[in-house]
Amino acid sequence: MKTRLWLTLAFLTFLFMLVNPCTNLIVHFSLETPISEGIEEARAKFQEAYNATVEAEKTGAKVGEAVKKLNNALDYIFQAENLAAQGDMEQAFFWTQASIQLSEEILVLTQELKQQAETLRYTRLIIYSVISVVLIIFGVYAFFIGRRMWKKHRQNKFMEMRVKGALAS
Amino acid sequence: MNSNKMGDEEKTITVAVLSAILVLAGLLVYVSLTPARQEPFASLYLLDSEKKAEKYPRLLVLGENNTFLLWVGVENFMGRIKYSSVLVKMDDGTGHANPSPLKPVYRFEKVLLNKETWEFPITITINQTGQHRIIFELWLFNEFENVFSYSDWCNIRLDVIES
Repeated sequence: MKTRLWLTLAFLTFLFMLVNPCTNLIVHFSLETPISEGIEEARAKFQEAYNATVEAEKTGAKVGEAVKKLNNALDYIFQAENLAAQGDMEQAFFWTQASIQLSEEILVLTQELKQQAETLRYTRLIIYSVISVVLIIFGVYAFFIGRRMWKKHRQNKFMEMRVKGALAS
Repeated sequence: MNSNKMGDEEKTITVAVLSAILVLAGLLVYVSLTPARQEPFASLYLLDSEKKAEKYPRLLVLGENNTFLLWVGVENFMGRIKYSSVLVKMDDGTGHANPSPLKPVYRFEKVLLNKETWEFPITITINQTGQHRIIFELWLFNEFENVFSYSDWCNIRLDVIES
């Protein structure tokens, strides 16, 4: 009996919150968010994509393609803002969604670019290290071979001088 | 034997001098090929309708030339991509600028690559007589704080009279 009373009370409270305009509970049940929120969401996603592109550029990635897409996403946001100002909420919503989708694509793209740049960096590091080691080995080898040849050359010259001296005397 | 010793010394000196010349030449080539490090900057500039810094509108007559075109340019030499925003504000020339607290009448945004220049036209119409000032402000997005930071500005002063 007591439980039923509590349940009724809870249900009534819930109904009151649903109807009361002061509570924004109704928003959570609505499928359509206001367009300003949509634009804010698109801008937040755009900033996220921009920050990811900045990070990718820091790793040495070429971000020209990502920047082109970022500018397109920005254009879509401006379209949405203009249409919302004109009162065309449906089209404005469409452009915000297009911008969000493009920003998500940029996030994936920058991740790939970052990985490519890191792979390229490691490959370069390995190649330069191998070249350095080969050059050092070659240098040391050339030094010893050169020294041996020089010694041999001097010895031959000394022997020649001795033979010449013996012949002269 | 003595002359042999002298020959060895000469050779050593020659090798040392040649090595020094080689090292110096290498350094010289490195210095000449390596560009000097630039101080990062972004700038904003205004051009007239012919993309020159000459014939800026000064005196406008209502109904005659009160609509005019200007080119706005932004240069990014920050060493990385930059999300830039140009705000256009208008007042009578007496208000505070740098930055102005007024609400912008136009806003333009673009992500610029490093060393990229962005130029775009803007058409403005003034329908009120008196003194006017058009302020152009450059704001750059700060990715660490996720906000735009004020960077640069320029303005143009106009007198509008009746025909």
